[in-house]
Amino acid sequence: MACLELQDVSKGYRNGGRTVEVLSHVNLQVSEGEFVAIVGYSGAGKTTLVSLLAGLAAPDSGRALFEGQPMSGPGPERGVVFQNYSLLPWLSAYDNVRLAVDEVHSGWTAARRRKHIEACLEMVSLLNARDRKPAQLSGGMRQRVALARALSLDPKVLLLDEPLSALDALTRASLQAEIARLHGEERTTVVLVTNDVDEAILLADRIVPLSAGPRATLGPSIAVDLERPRSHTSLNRSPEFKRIRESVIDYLLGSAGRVRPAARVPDHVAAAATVDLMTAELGDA
Amino acid sequence: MSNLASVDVAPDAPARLAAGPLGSRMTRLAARVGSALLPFAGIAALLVLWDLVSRFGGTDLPSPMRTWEVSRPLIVEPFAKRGELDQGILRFTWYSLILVAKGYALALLLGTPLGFLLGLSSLFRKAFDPIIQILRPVSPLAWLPLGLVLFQNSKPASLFTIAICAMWPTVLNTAMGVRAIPQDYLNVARVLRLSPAKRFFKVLVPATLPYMFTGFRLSLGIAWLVIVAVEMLTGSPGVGGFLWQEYNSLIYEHIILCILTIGVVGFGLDRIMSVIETRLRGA
Repeated sequence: MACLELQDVSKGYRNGGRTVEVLSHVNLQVSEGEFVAIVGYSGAGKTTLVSLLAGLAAPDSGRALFEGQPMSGPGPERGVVFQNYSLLPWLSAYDNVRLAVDEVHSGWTAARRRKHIEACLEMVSLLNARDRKPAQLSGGMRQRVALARALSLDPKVLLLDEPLSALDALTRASLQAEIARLHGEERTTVVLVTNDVDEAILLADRIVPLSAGPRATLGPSIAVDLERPRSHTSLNRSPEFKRIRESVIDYLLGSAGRVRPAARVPDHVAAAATVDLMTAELGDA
Repeated sequence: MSNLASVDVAPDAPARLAAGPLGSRMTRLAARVGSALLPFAGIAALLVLWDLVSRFGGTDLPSPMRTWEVSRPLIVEPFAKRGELDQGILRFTWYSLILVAKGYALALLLGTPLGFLLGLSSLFRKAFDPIIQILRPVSPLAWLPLGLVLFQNSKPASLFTIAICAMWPTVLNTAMGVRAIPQDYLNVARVLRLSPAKRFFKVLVPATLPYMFTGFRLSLGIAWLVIVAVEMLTGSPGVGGFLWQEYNSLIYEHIILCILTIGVVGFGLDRIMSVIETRLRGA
């Protein structure tokens, strides 16, 4: 049984009386312990996809299942790390995690909860910044607090919505290592949504490309059979890495990307996506 | 002066170069002192105008000097009580502040929950927003008689008037703050499955607090405006009541004293609230 499953899901938004379909007939199965990366264009509906997986949004048609049961809404067993951190700015790093722990592990003793909060902050090496408010933290630190908060729920699935896209390259690399390590140690099921093909290959067991919107849909899975731990440097020399990257980019630029955006995607969206993928290609050369 | 100095050293070229920055520093200093003095210049200009009008205006307006002389006993012993009608100006102010505090507290107690309801429920908003828009601009002078009819007594009628006039900024700002809460915060509450009470106190209230405080500050300003009108109409003791009574006793100097006191106190209250507001926004 799949841990997380979307069956023929479509989802649209009303825009001035007209419904614009963002995702169309999406099928996805995530097994327990698996790390799946969904790679797609900016504006293709990646965040909508995460909302559906989290249960924050309900599908217009089709079914969203968690452990075989239809989702009735969001819940702590699916921890979400949002693109824009979503920390409560009036709470310190510690208190942001604490809000989650107090709620989800309310049966525990106070001492056990405190230990758990500290352990989660330790996991993302933020214990010494525990009393700082989000405004006093750098972008990378904020994202680590958000990660600690999601981990503190002891979730069965971790949903990461472009968690690293707002960060500089160095912070990004160190957080990627962090996520890889956490997945390696805890064997938590992870769904990572990203527009960075390299990041997906570095972290995931399987990559699922998302075609350009509107009416985006998921393409065929591409397995990443590279041994772990993976590093940027070793990947750059690996022919398998190049092959995977080419097939992902081919899919996105080919049938799923080139034909449809010309007709349907607003210019600025198409342009942004193309630039993303072009830099990826240049990096390859 | 600095001009003369630079003329003296003019033949010496390096010294002249050095005098340049010094001269400009002097000019900047002069500019800063000048701008610090400007408010006093404004006050002086007003005093002169006031004095001219009192001399040549052909009215009963007392001159500034005379106002000071007549008001002095009330100012030098601000808390004295020599009789019901002869008390220090701060003693009157204190009476007014107590009444305002009560009415303002009532305004916040009514206005904050009302603001949350308006912000949280679009049904409630659609039902009551038009009424609020109509009641909001009604003057305190219009509410007070209705208060007297309702409560048959000037004291509760005063509180009612202050509360109903002062609460609108709190209501509207709170409602706006609730509607401005980022969806992300609400998503966090949903993922954690916070109970409605926790969602309210741990997410909604803290997220709305800065907006609420802007409302609180504006409400306090209105409460202080209303107090004078209310005291005048009900004849209750306080700066407003005293002002009206001194008008009837033809002691016009005290009217001016009261106006200045009301202004200074209102300014002070606003400063205090805006300091708290800035703290909250910074947090």
